Order: sequence, then C-alpha cells, then structure tokens
Amino acid sequence: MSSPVIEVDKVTHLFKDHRALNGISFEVGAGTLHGFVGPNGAGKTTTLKLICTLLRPQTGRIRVFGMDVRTDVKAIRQKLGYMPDHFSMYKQMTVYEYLDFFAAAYGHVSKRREVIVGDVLALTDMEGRKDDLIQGLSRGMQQRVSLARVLVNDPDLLLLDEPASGLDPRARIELMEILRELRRMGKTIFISSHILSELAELCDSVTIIDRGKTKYSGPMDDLLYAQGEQPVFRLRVEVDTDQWGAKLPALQGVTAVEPVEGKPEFRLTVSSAEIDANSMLTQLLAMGVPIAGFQRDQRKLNDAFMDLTERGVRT
Amino acid sequence: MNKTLALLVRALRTESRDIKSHLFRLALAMFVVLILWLGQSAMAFESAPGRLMFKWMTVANWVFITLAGGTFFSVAISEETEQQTLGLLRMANVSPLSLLLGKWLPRMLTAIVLISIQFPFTWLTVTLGGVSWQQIWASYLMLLAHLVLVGNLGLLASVLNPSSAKACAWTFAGMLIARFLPLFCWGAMEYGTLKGWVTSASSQTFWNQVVLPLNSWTASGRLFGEILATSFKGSAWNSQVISNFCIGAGLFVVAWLIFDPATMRHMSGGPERKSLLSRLFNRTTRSSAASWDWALGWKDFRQVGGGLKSVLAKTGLYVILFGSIFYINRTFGTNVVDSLHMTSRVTAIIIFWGLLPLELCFLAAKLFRPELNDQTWSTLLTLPKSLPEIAYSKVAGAMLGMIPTLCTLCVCSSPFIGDLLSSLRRSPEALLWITYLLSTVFLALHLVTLFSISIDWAAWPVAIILGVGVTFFGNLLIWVFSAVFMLGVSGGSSESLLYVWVTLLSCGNLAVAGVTHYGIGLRLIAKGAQS
Repeated sequence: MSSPVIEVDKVTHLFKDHRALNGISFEVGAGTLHGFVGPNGAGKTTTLKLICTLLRPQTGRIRVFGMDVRTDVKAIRQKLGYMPDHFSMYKQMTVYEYLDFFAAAYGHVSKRREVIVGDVLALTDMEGRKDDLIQGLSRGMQQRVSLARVLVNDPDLLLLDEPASGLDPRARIELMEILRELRRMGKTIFISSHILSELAELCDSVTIIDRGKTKYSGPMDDLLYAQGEQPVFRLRVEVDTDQWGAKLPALQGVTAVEPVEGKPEFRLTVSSAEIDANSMLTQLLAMGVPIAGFQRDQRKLNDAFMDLTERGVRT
Repeated sequence: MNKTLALLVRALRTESRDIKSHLFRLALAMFVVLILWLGQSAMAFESAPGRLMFKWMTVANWVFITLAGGTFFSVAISEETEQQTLGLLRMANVSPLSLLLGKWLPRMLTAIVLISIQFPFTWLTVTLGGVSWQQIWASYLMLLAHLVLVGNLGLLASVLNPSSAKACAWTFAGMLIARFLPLFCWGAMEYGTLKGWVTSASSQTFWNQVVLPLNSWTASGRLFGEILATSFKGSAWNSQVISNFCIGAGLFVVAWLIFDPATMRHMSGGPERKSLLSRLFNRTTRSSAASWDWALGWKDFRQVGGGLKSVLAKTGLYVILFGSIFYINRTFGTNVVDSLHMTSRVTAIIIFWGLLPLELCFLAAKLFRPELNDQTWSTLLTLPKSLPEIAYSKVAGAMLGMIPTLCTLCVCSSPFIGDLLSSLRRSPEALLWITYLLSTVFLALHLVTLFSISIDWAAWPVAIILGVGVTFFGNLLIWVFSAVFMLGVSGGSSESLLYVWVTLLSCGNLAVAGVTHYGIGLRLIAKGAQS
C-alpha cells in the first residue's frame, strides 16, 4: 500500500451508553479510492466525522496526512473536503454564489475564485446552471453542487458519506464517472456507500465494519478473490454442454466441475492458486473446447459483506 | 371518537415521557412556593397579603396562557406537517375533526391541569385576606376563557402554516392586532379631529362603543381593570368570558372547515403557493453576486441581516418614520427647529426602547437557526477556521444589517448627547443603572441565542419569548426578593446599599451571560457533530 493518508488506530467512541465505535483500525493509502462499508448503525458516519474533525476521538488515534485530528484541526481541514450524507446547502443562493462563498471562506481571493469556481463547475458539468437557485435544482443536481463545493478548496482527500444515496440510476452513473475522474487527478477518495456493486467496480481498497469493529480492511481484490480458498474459474462453451461436462474433470489440477443451471457454463475449482488463468486456458484450448467466455470467478462484494457482518437489529 | 382518543393517548404518553414537561411543572411549583413565601413576607407591611399573592398568581397564569397559546397550540398541526406525518394520519382515515380534537384536547388538558393544581394555594389567599371567593372564581373563569381563545387562535394558525415558527409568529401577531388595532384606530380618529376630518363626537362614540367594549372582552383589560381591583363585585360570567368562549369556538370551527384545503398542499409535498411579492421577487434563476473576501460576514449580512435590499428598505422606513413624526409635530403648531428637536427625541426613544431591542432579539434568534434548519452548520465547521472565528464573523456580518437603525439612532440622539453627558456629570450614579440595563440586554440576547439552538420546534419565536422572559422575570424576582429582604433587615432602604446591589446585579447578569456564552459554544460544537 502507498503511504497512508488516513490512519485509524484502535478508536473507540461512545455516545452516552451507546458504543458507536469499538476499537476500529484501518488505513487508507494515498491516491486510492477506498470504500467504507457497513450495515446501518455500524459507525460509518461517526468514523467520517472523527476523520474530518467534527468529533474528537475519545480513545485511540486518528492521523490524517500524518497529523493528529486532536491537535492539527485547521491544517487537516485545509487539506480535506467532507460531503455529509445530507444536502447541506444555502438554498436561497445561486449555484455560483454558493461555490464562490465557500471558495472565499477557504481564503481564495476574488480573481482566483473565478477560475476555481469555473473549473469545478466544468468538472461537475454544472456550468449551464450556475445562475440557478439551489432550491430549484433536482436531487442529482444538488449532489453535483455538493461535490463541487467539496472541490473548491482543491483538497487532497475527499470524504464522501453516502454520495449516491437517493439518486436515480443516471445521476449515480454520472457521479461515479466524476469520482473516477477525480481519482485520475490523484485525489484520495474515502467513500461510504451502501451500493456495493458500484463500490466493487470503483474502489481499489475497502474497509468493512460492523457494530463498531473492523471486519475487513485491505485491497478489494483480496476480498473478492477470497484469499486462502481454492481458485474458481467460470467457463462458457458454445455448443454441446453435456459432452464437455464429462471431459472437463480430466484437466490437470481441476478438482471439481459444476455446471451452472440453465446456462452453457461450468464452474471449475482447481487444486491450488498456482494454476492460474493462463495455464487453465492453454489446457482448454489444447482439449479443443469451443470457448465462448472464460474468467476467474470472483465473489460478489455482497457475499463478502454478508459473510463478514452479523445478522440482527443494531442497537 | 376512537381516533381522537388514540391521538390523545399518544400525546399524553409522549408528554409523560418528556423530561422537559416535568421540569416545567417543577418550575411552576417552585414559582408557587416562591409566591407563598413572598405573601408570608409581605404580612409585615401589607394589610392584605392574600391579595398580593393572588395578584401575582393570576398575572403569572395570564402570562403563561398567553405564551403557551402562542407556542404550544401553534405547533399542534404544523409539527405533524414538519415531521411529514400529517399525510399518514389522513391516509389512516383520521378525519380533520378527530385530528384537531386529538391535538387540541391534550394541550388543553395539560394547560388546565397546570392551572388547576394551583387551586389549593389560591384558597390560602382567602385565608391570608384581601381576596373574595367571587374574585377567585371570576379570575379562573377569565383565565379559562382566555385559554380557549388563545389556544384556538394558535390552532388556526397551525392549520394555515406548514412551519411552526410562522404559525407562532401569526398567533402573536393576531393577539397584538386584536389588542392594539382598536386603540390605533382611535388614535387615528383623534388625529382626524385635530385636522377637522372627523368630529370630536364621532371619536368619543368610537371610544365608548368600540374601544371600551373590545377592551373589556380581552383578558388583560378585564384582569387589570376589574378583577385585581380591591372593590371587585362583578359577576364571573361577563362579556369577556362569553365572547372569548364564542370566538374561540368560532376559530375552531374555521380551522375544521378549512383544514383540508389548507393542509392538502402541505401534505402532498408540492410547491408552496407563493404570495404576489414572492412571485415578483423569487425566481428560479438570477444573476449571481460575488462573495466578499470576508465570506462569512457577507453570507450573514444577506441571510440574517437581510442584505443590501433590506438596508435600503429600512433606511427608507426610518425616513418615513422621521417625516411622519415631524409632520405631526408641525400640525401642533411648533416651529421648524422645535419640531426637528422633538422629532429627533421621539424617533430616538422609539428606536432605543422599541425597534433596536426588537431587531437585536431577531438577530440573536436567527443567527444560528437557519444553519441548523438547513443542516449547513456541520459544513461550516469543516472550514479551516476555529468556532469563535466562524461565530463572531456571523455576528459581525448580521450586525451590518442594523446599520440603518444604529445610524438613525446616532443621528437622532446627537442633539442631546451634550445634555446627556452633563446629566451624567451631575449624577454619575446613573452610569450604574445604564450598566445594569446593558448587562440585562446582554444576558437576554445570550439566552435568546442559546434557546434558539436548543429548541427544536418554532425555535426563533419561542427563543425570543423565553430569553426575554427568563431575563425579565429573573431580574424581577431578584428585585422583589431583595426588596423584601432589605425591608426585613433594616426596615427601610439605603441609597448606597441600592447602588451596591445594582452593581452586584450587573455583575451577576454578566456572569450568567458568560456562562451562557460558553454553553452556546459547547452546544454549537455538539450540533456540528450531530447534523
């Protein structure tokens, strides 16, 4: 992992009698897009508020860019942009006024602000709506303005709490595109979300928490390919499924062949991780299998999430 | 009927679980005990201590009902609208009548219980002397009728407004209009008689046939003009009781009849119907204004202070106010110089004692409330600035909206500054009183701000009432205590002791304001983490 931008170390946080976080620990590398996943009430928003200095950690330590959130509040705030899970907007302002206000609040002078606001409007594709009052914008548009607001300070770290919540599919896809663009620009993005399929596609690494405890934190691939388990490949054939179903167990290293119901497909379990996709594909071609598709089978993030988190109502 | 009962039971359960309502009852009990103590202390110098105690209790109840009507009843329906539960209740086939009764009854019961628990103490006033049973019955009936009137006015405002704050403002505006409009009309008629537009007889007739009867219909008019008089011999059932019950019932019926058309738009979540002014000035787009480099000041100058348009409008209004007073002075035949002097004096008094405190209260109540309502406070707190930097920038920005008021006050009081300074030189002890006044205002503004960020519904009107009320009654109680104590100790008052006491009170006010200031800071940090 590249040098950590966020270091959360054994952090516990209580709200009266309720233990929101219970010794949570994880790290987020620089320039990565890091997913933050957990059931409702797991402590995601509390963690985000601790990182962005709105709350002070009661025990444990949180460092952002190597600075302590207890002592270096202003310096940390200067380097991060936080987007809460609700619309936090002055609805009587126009889009331009709102962004210009925040740019000024971050200390940019008038001339520089014009450039900055123009840039973030272009990035979020809101140039045509800059004189619209925020109260008249749709939810998706307001979310874009929120994201634009986070960017006016050109922060190195973005903390996004449920940014896709309540958005229609088009707005969600567009938001994900903007996030990919931001990652290409070298920003570190820490994103809390419930939309697991999109996180799986988007994120380099992920932290799963449940009931205030870290259940997994690391690269997304390690989670999806389930380290330690036997590799599984998915093979799709063009014709004569039954014939190939009988021949496939003869492949070297294959321990089980499982047909996928209703599809001309097989799941091939191999004995060890040393048999990679290349060697398996070579064997299949040598056998003359009419291959329509071949890929390493990965668990869905949903499955990993369900395995790692517990059932039941959170209290 | 079952649905009304269900709402009633829900409201009573919620109320019984809410610690604030129990604390409120405790405060009321302490207040009654305090009045008892004062009554007992007053026996030393008052021939009829019972009457003194009765007067205190009745006035306190009247104030309580007036404030409760303006707040507690005004959120009855609007709180359901704000929580978006009104539509759900209507979908559960709860009729408007059941809903109104279900929301009105628990409030009425709570208020009646609060007042009736004082009844045993009222017996004591008869024992202590100076009060008749007839007087007690009349006062309780008067208060009940006032409660019905004010409660139903609040209920109607709550049906008409989806916002609790607006509903409260409407109720208080309604009460003020009902109380002062006849007097204002009579004043206009008196002015007309001076100009020869109206005959003196017409003005007298209006006074006798409109102003006096309407005054006798109001609880305050009857309370101070009749019930608290030593020689009270009136009937419990009079025009105030009957009119208040009838008008209250009428307002309830109106609230019932207009319930569906008035609340349908709120329930559907559709766009609000805008007033003509809103439609003229509110557009979906407008040319954007650039922020000042002092961004927080700029925002609050616009958001709380009203912005440049408001400054210009206020300046215009002050010019009109000054011109009107000058015109009235001139009609009394004074020369131009004297008229200008008199106009300046009157304008300065109106601003200093009326408009300036009002504007300061509004500013204090609205300083942080919009940020909490729009959930923007947490975003502001993530700026690389400390809490004091953010908060004081907001105060300074909002204060810019007061420039017209402060400038007009300075200009109008400038001819008298010399007189004022020479008066202070002659009697410097007046500075102590000025300091005491300023410390009281300082405390009241802090309390208004604290309440505005602590209360969840109808925050800013309630915050103003509570902040000003707590400061006023707190200081009043301390004065009464000290008066009783001084009389008990020395049998008379000493001037130097009084000045020491005023100084102590000023320090006390400032100390409490300091604690409140710190409390506001803690509360703001907590709110930032919550939203």
